[in-house]
Amino acid sequence: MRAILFGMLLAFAAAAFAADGNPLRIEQPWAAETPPAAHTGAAYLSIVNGGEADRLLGAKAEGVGHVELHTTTMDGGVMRMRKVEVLEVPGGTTTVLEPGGIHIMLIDLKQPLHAGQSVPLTLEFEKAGALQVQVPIRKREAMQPSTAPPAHEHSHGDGQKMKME
Amino acid sequence: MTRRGKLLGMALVGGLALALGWVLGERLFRHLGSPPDIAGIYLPDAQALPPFQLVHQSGRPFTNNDLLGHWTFLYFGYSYCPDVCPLALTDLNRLQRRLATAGADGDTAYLFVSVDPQRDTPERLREYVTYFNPKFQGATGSDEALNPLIKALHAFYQRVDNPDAPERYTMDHTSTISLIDPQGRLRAIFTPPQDPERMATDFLAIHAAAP
Repeated sequence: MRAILFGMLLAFAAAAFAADGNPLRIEQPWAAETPPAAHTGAAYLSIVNGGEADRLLGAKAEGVGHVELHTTTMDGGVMRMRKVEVLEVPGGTTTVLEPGGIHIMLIDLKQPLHAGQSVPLTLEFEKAGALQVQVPIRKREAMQPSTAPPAHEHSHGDGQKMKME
Repeated sequence: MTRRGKLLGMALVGGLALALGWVLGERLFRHLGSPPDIAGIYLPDAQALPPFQLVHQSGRPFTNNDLLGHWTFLYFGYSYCPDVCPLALTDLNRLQRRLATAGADGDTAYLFVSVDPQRDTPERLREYVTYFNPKFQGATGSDEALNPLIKALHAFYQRVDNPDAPERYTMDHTSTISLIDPQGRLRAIFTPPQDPERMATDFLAIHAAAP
């Protein structure tokens, strides 16, 4: 049921952008729930560009000190994360920001990101201008693809309470 | 050198190579027919780790002794890492649950070693790792304390400064998962991208092959 509601919310959000004639559409936005101690988080989404080439210049989010675009590369088993100053969004394509690739890094979180809540995010494009999107916060377990059986998906919540070793 | 001397030298080198090959082959294959074929690197002869001392999430020292008596999955990372480290810890959580389901989680530990001691205090590490799984443990240490373990596990890390804001630096780091055996020796390295299901299968094979 929650998945359906979530889907409807997404469809509604997508439709809202399409209706105003903007060639850019944001699809499947989500931010990963963060551990209580985390000062940083990550948001992911797809940018569907039905028009001409554009560029994502930056972003800001409520309750977040700084927002940066980062890309992760794997180089001989070494993970290297680098800031992306400007993200090219070619026309007629979908640019996917996903775990292990390009992500929107949320730095200096005022409070941890809790699943079920959302982050208001503003994306600043060179031509399309500012696009606002409500980014739902989800558990990584629920979003990250895996071949592992989905059983016991909810038992994870028990692990959130701090426990002394 | 005379022609005869050269021939003698070559024969000696050839003989040595043969002997070395025989010894290595004997050591490699003495345990089993063939070593487990894993998604990573399996070391038929486990590598002993040099003495090291880190700080455990509880604040006490964490040394080689803490690795004895159980298998340890070890990952290097840092808590400010927003993308790859949570990804790896989510995978390790899946691995732990998979092994628990298979009844093979009785003698395993999961250790997140932070390469960012400046920001990752033991207390922060504890909150961070136990969020992913209450069984997970964190440890960290100064560069000097980390180095022996980093070298022995064929890992690497490096601070990357942020010119806009010095406090928002990031860390490059190896994203492999090392498997330490109950004798505290390196037994295998799972290379990225890791699939928890495959790691579980590989671990069961390694566990079964362990002498």
